[in-house]
Amino acid sequence: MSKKDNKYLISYGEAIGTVTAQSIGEPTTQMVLGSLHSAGTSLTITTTGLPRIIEILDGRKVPKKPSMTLYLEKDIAKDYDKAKQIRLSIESVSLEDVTESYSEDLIARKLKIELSENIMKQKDITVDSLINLLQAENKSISVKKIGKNTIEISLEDKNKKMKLIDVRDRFNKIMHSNIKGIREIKRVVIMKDKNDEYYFITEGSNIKEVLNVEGIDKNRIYSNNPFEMYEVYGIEAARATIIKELHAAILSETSLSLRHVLLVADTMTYDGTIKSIGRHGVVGAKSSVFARAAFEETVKHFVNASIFNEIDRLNGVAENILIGKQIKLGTGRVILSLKKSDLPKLLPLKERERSEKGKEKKQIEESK
Amino acid sequence: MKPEVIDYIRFSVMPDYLIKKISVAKISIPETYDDEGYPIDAGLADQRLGVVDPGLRCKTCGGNLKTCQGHFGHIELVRPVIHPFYAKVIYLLLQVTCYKCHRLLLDADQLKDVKEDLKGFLEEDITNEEELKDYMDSEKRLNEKRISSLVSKSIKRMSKCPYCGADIAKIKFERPTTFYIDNERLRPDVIKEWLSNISDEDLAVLGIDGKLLRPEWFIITNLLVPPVSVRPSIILENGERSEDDLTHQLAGIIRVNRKLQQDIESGAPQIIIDDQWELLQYHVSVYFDNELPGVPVSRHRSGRALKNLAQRLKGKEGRLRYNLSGKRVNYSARTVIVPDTSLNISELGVPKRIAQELTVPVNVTEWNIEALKELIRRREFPTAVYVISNDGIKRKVTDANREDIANGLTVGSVVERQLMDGDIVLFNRQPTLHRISIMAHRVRVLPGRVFRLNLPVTTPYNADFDGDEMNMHVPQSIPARAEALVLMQPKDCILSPRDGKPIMKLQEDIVIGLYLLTNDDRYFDKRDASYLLSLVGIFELPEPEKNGLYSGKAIFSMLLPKDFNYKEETKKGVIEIKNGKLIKGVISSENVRSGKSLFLAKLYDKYGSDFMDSFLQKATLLALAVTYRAGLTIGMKDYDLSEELIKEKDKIIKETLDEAEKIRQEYKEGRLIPEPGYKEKEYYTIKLLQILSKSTKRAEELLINKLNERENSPFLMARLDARGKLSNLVEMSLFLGQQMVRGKRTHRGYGDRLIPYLSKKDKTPRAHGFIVDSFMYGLDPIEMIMHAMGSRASMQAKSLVTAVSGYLQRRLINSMQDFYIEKDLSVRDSSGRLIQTVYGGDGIDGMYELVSKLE
Repeated sequence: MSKKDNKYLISYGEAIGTVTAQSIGEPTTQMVLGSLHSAGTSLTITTTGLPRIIEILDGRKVPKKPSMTLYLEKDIAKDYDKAKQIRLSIESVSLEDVTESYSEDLIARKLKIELSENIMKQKDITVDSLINLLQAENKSISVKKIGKNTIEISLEDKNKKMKLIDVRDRFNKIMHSNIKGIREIKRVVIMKDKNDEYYFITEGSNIKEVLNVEGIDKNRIYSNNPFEMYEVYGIEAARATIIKELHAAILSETSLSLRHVLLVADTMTYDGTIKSIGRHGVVGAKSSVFARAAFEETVKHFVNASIFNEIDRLNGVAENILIGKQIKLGTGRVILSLKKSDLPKLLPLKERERSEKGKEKKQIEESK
Repeated sequence: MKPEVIDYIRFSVMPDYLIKKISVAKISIPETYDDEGYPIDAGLADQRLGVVDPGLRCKTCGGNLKTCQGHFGHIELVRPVIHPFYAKVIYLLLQVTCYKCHRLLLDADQLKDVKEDLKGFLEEDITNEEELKDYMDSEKRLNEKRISSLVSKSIKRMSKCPYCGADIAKIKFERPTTFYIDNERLRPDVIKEWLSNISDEDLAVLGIDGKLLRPEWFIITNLLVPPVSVRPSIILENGERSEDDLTHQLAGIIRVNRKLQQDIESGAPQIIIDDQWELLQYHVSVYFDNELPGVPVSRHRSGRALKNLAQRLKGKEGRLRYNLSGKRVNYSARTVIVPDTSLNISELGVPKRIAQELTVPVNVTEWNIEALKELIRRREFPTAVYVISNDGIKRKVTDANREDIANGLTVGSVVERQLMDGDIVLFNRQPTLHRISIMAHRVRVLPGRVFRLNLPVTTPYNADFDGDEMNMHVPQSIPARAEALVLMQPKDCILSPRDGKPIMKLQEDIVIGLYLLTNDDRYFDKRDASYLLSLVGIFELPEPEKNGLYSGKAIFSMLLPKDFNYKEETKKGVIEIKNGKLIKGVISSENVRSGKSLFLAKLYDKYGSDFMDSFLQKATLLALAVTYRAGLTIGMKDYDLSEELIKEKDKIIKETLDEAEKIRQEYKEGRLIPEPGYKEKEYYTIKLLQILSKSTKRAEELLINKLNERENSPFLMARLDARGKLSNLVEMSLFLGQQMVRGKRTHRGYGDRLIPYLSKKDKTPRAHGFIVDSFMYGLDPIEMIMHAMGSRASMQAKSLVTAVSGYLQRRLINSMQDFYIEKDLSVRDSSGRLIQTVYGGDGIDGMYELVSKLE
């Protein structure tokens, strides 16, 4: 590291957490709530702005608009037909989607469905395979083919004990049962990147299922849900996801140095799990009773501390403000000391002059 | 006297014997003062508990209200009650122990397993500091789950106690404080007996150290009564006494306690005693927390809920956040702020009356003793106010004793003098969202009643001058002053720690001034050039150009260092500075305001904070002088447009409306083919919105083509990005365009129309918030309502954002405030945990993010 770089290094003791928190918190005051920026593009409506930032920092298990970015395996990456084919195996199709019209007979517990030939063809589903799927997916029903494109579903309810409203519910469930693709993935859009490679952007996310899909590059699966990334790939992947998503969310409004985002992501992940910024996460895990009590749920923390005889070592910021001690951060962290040889410089002027004159005299005498 | 430093604090539960030990009085009378206004003995304001009235003396320590901090008393409860906060723990303890032999419901093998699991987490395993730290961290996480997991472990597997063979009883807990064993009421005295029989060894398994805390302490037999100074009564205007909420609550407890005693003594039936006992439990529960779930709230006569112990601590107005985390200070001032370009950016204009009121302590030394004597002798403004002599006696300096004090001044004493020019003070504006919301300024004492500051510092404070007030604090110690001087002056905070871009910049009029000054065809004669430069303290002229005139560029270049080179492409063309001379281009807002440009950052990096301090001020003065001379004014005529423009506007509106109508017809007749991925209706609304909002853009282009910068100041300001946008001009002079509510056209209302002034099912742009009139021309009622709808929606959103983002900021800060940079550039928290190995990956200060990347 050169001397010039040294000048730009961060100083020892700097209260970097506060600086980072402020750097992220301050611009959010100027943000607009719930602005939908992606007006105009039909695909990928994602949460943006402040709601998205809060969603990430809260470490929510399921975000409002989960989405994945999926690449094809290298050898088929530029094959549009292959891409279309794989898309069919990902995008979820429910029975309702392929239904042209249907009629239900609640008393006879029968559901008659006329399937749309067109859509069936589009989604690459045959009537026979559909029947098998339905049978596997739903318990205690029997499915019969009664026309070219018509099927009849009957509930096995011998004693007719079910209430009509429950029958209705069952039918509703059957109509929404997933017959193709991955249930969570509602829509898949094919995109093309700079290198002419095709990739998918999905609405909805389920990494575990996508891993089983052939043709998808397993090394380039990305979900915008840090928690899902954590479950499948581990904490480092989750950290990377938080960094990427948080930075993108903030950069859409104001500029921000990546280093702040890095520190926040590390704060949320440093112990190997995703912790939220708040009482259930980082603050709740603090060792100081006072720090926790001063944040939220004051009484609860004091009571629990008393039961287990907790000790507060008074090292942090909040505790020391409470008891009125100097904080061990920044200039409060360093202790100044003086070289013994510099001590004479602090003597009152007259004495100093005297001693300096004495020295000079000595020097003169010595030189003589 | 050296202050004692608190090393650590250990929490515990107050045991009964300790309550009796520290209690100075047994309180048994629910009243406070007698008819003469004196405290009643054994009453709630007993004089042994300390005094709050002037003139009275504490009967315990003999001190008056200033010297006596109060003493605790106690109430002897006739029957024990359960402490509501510990009911949950009691429940768990009852569940894991046998009701008969009170031993832990784990057999020897299970106990061994559990102990194995807990190894390292028990206090007896701790031998050194390191292990203590680990223990502290893991302890909390473990404790909460430990007991409940034990409950399921033991209860589920066993039907009989492994030690005494008794059946395991089913304990039921009813919030807040009622327990049942096999559906029979479990009374607090029984519980106390049970809990006191649990052995220390068994408690250790549960994470409770029996030597420090016994579970029977969770049951209250003697209730601690806080001293009167904790709950002072206030005397109202009509001379009546009004007691504190806590006193009221305690009085309630005493009354019920007395009644219960009478009932017991008179041999009342058990049901009545139990009822009264329950009432006592209620009063004690509520005394601790008046917001317990499922418990009726105890109220004041007026119907207001009482603020009891938990309420005193809790929340934003509670003891912790209001009085302990935030403290009131002395040596501070607050007034309205006002701009003053004649000040340096690091200076602050302080009104004389504030300077007279605030003081700075100065240590008397051999070097300053004469000057201080002189100061003490002065009768007017800067003078000394107090002198603290070597032996610590503080004396006020008055005209009568000035001479005496001055003559008797010795080295080592402290003089508190009034605030003077050059003193360093801290200046702050709320909300204090980032560290540059507090900066250190040098004082300039000025007449008037307001604080004055230069313009570039408004950005970090986020201040404007529409009535904003700001606070000033005077540091009272040398270390504090040194710190402020070195770290907190505006000149050292020019770069934002957020992204490394300059946060203090030149704005508004100054941007215009710089543009006018550095414009290509701008020349000044010798007189004007000398005048302008003299304003900023430069007394030499640049090289004259043609006809002995001086170019504006050359004059501006006088502010730049002679070895400064810079080149950049901006929207206003290339600017080039060579050897400190602006040879090409115009200084635009992009350079000095937007933060996009490296101009200011580079100057700061190369020439340092002191240069920037003076550069910003000089540029301000110079630019303003040019603006004054050129004349910059706005008036109605700037917004009152020519007939030609009105015609053009009508054309735009007509075309827009026609196009909108066309697409509506297409949609109606089903001829509109949506782009892939859209539904028809979606596509129609988006398309329509596009058409309507396009009109505003067209209007802006129209203004750009037709207006002249020289003739129209608002237009000049918008074009230079100094103040206002072109869209503001369009709104004022041409038309307002489409009004939006939550990103959509105004669309909600009564049935088939937005307001009753419209006919039903009116789908025209006008019926959905497209406004064709301008502010100058005036809106019609329908347009006005549409406009108000948009305004209301945006105001609502704004007030919501402040609440949401405020809480976010609090959470962020509370999560990260303990982090600091270790000597190896790693980030650690206060308990030594490693957060980041090298800060930001490169260890560079965020403030120098941009600057460090310059070549």
